[in-house]
Amino acid sequence: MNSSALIMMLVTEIVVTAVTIYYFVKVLRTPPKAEQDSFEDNDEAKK
Amino acid sequence: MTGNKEAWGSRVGLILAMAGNAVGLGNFLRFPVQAIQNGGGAFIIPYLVCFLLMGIPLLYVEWSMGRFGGNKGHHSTPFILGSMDKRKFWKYIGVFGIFTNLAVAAYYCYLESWTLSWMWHSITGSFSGQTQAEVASFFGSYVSLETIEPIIFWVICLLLNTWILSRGLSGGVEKVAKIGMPLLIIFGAILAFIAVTLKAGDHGAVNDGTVGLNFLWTPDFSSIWSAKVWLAAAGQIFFTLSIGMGSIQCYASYVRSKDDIALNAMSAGWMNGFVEIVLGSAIIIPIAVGYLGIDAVVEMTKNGGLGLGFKTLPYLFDQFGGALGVMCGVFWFGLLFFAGITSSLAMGTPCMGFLQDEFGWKREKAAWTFGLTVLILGLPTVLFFNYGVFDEYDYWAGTVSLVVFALLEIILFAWVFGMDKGWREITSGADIKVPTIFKYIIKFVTPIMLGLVFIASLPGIWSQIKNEGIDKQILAATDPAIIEQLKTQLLYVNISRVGLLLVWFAVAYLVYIAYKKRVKEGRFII
Repeated sequence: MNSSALIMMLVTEIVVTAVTIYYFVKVLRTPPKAEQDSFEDNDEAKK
Repeated sequence: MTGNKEAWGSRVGLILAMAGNAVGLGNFLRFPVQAIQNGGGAFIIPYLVCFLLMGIPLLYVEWSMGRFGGNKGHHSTPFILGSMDKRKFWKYIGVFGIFTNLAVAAYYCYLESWTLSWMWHSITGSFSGQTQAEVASFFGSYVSLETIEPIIFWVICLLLNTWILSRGLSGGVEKVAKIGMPLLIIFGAILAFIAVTLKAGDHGAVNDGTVGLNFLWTPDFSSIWSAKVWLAAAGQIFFTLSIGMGSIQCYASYVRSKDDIALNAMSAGWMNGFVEIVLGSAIIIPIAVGYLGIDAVVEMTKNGGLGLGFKTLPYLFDQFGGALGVMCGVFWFGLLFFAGITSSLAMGTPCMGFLQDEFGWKREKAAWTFGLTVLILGLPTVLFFNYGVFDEYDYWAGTVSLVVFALLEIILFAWVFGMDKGWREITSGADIKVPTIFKYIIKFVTPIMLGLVFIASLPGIWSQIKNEGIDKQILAATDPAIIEQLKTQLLYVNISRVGLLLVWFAVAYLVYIAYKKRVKEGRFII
């Protein structure tokens, strides 16, 4: 691959992958709200 | 009273379902073709700019509209839009959010059924030992309905979709997303690895897989000054995120007012971007260029990526030979199937939500009614595929309707509902800090961009209405048999267009009946 294609691909893919992982991990790490929320699983867990 | 007691099981399930709604066949078949036709690696610049200025704002708007309407007991766009302003016509604008889903599901389920069929043929070895022309002719015979097989796979696909929808959000849609999305990413990652590590000389390949990557990613920076490239990028962002359909609002309508939508929207939106950019760019083009060379791939992609995906790739996988060839075929059509079904399920939920909310129908009854409607509406796309009916549905429901609805809904959100109230909706319960600049982007930049996309598409719409494409073909044709076939195609295209218009008015009439019912029962809308 030529260097401009390689740089374009790597920069784009690293940025997109990093942002995707960042947001998804943030979702996983955010604790459910104390009050009743939108999700049945959380409500069952609180019972 | 509404009979709608649906709920999401988990936050991850909601995000995967929403990402599955966005991830479709276009992520793998349309994006790489758009990239090579519009500046290669440089295409990513207008693509990401459009994502930031149009995609993300519309995701915020649709998620917050959905949650706002849902908390008032509305789970489909007619009454979600109706709850945002007292003027009655907004609920008829919301008709697009049901019409589009019905009409797109009608042809999309047929496309989805191809992936099931091709997966089956990959397993049974139907493509084994065939030439490239024979595999391509298999596709031609298939859509010409030379056997009953396409109908069988289509009906199986419809039954599967309807059955899953009848299991509800947490028991059906969410479970499929939780299985389908991880499998899709695993299949995609394996295929991308095989494609990128392909070596010239291995299994008859003439180029390394990286030649295709190089071709796709080499930036032509002069292209970013071209309006055509920006329109292509805006169009790709538009269609890849499933915005302007009404399905995002429906999914988000089951989120409570104090729960986050901002982080959820970003997580689902970027997940779609990951699948499209990282996986979508690394499979079809590297393999095709590896075997056929750049010139042949450029020629083959002039009419989009569908032919490459269904007519060429099965032949190329067969070159891998043995179990690897079968595995790649199953993975490729398997990932396309999961991409398809997670999207088609999202098309069913707004229609079901409407029937459950407005007419108190049980979930199962609503699901089977949706399935039957899609069967009736989809039949012309199956029977008359070669007469352009499929493409006509795609143009009006899958292209024009989305742009019109998105433009009108952002005007409602930013200028009628009001940006201050709108911003409170977006940021309420947010688990991330939404940059304030998006308040101004949503109010000014996104509507202007959508307006430009709409204006730019007007000549194409006018040309389509006048059937200029078919007329030109008739004028250029000399064979009386071809002229006769084109005239028949013209007839079918016009009939399907009128049919779609009737569907729109039928949905509008149902909304009118529902509104009158609400007034009679004293149920509030706003």
